Amino acid sequence: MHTPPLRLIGSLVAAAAIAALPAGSASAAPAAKPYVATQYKPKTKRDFTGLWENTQGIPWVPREPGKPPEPPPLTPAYQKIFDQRIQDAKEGKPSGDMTAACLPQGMPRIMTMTYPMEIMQNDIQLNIFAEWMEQTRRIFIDGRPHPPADELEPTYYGHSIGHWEGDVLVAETVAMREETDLEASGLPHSDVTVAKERIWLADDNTLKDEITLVDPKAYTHPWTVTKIYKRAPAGFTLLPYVCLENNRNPVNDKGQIGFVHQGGSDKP
Amino acid sequence: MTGSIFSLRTGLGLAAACAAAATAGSALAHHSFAMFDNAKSVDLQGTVREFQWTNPHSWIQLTVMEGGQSVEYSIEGGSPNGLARRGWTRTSLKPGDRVTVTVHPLKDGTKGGSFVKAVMADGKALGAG
Repeated sequence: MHTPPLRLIGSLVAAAAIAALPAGSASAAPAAKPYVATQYKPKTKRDFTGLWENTQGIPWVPREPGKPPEPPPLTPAYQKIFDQRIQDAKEGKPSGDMTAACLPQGMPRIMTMTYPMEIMQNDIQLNIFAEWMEQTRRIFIDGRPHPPADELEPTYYGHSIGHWEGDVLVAETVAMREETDLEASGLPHSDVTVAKERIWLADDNTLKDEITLVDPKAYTHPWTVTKIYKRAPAGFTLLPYVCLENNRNPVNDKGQIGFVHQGGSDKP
Repeated sequence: MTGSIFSLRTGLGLAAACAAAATAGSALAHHSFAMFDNAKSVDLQGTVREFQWTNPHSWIQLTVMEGGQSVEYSIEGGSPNGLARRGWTRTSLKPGDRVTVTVHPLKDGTKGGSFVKAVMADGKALGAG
């Protein structure tokens, strides 16, 4: 193999430099230990850092086997919207599920965590990264208030602020876009929804989020569900999820989910 | 196995989540599966032309001989995120592999369906993620 002279000189210089270092500092690296993956261990009861898996499936209300799902306490107007979305879904029209068009779940549905989530936090904010749709939700914990109402722009994740009550993070989210929903069925919320959460470590490996939706337009009373997440095993990592990478189910002009066939004639 | 970047042990919690989600209908799919005839299962024996290891869904392009003609089917599967944690990799199916794929066919007769399972020529089975 031909080695360019300059590189050879460089190598010799580097070797001489190492030889010139005080004894000990240039000793051979210790034999590499085999890598052993570890699970994150919380530093305090207020440390929610880590990778978490939802234990209860994707419905908004965890459904117990053999029991009918708890009916959502919808107001008549929003029950009508919900019924229409269920009917649409039967006809292949995802009118109540924006994710069919590769749009993010947004808040509050993000907390149903179809795929796992990762939490990173500091003194200013707690970030929740959802694997599904690669979403990020931020809860500000530095004492800031919500922006004034006339400056609040409805967004997919709304505006979340939180403070500590003991070791419970008490968070409040406002200004969530109305067209986000609670689950794939199209369970709706209105434009005035406020999500009040109490988030805490039940133990080192269990995170709980008690979410109360206060939404007098869509729900007849504040509605509370509790989500339970388990710490993912050692070695776990989130994977990419780029929804537009190869979406062969675009919504067609009839509002139905399409099917892009490849490889020639698509009819028998 | 595996060449994947995480431990397969991680699949257990997700398997439970999948099972719970399956009862909700569309499982971990990112959309409704109303276009498929979920009451009907069809076995397609063919050769893999292409395996698309992509989001939001994986796809198997399968060449099947029907009445002396070569016909291509588009078979929609789970996302790599779900499949990987069930032990799949991007090379679980390779072009040229002979495989029998069970699908729920499209209701409108288009040559395609949703993935149920695959059995390789050597008898090895791949389940849905």
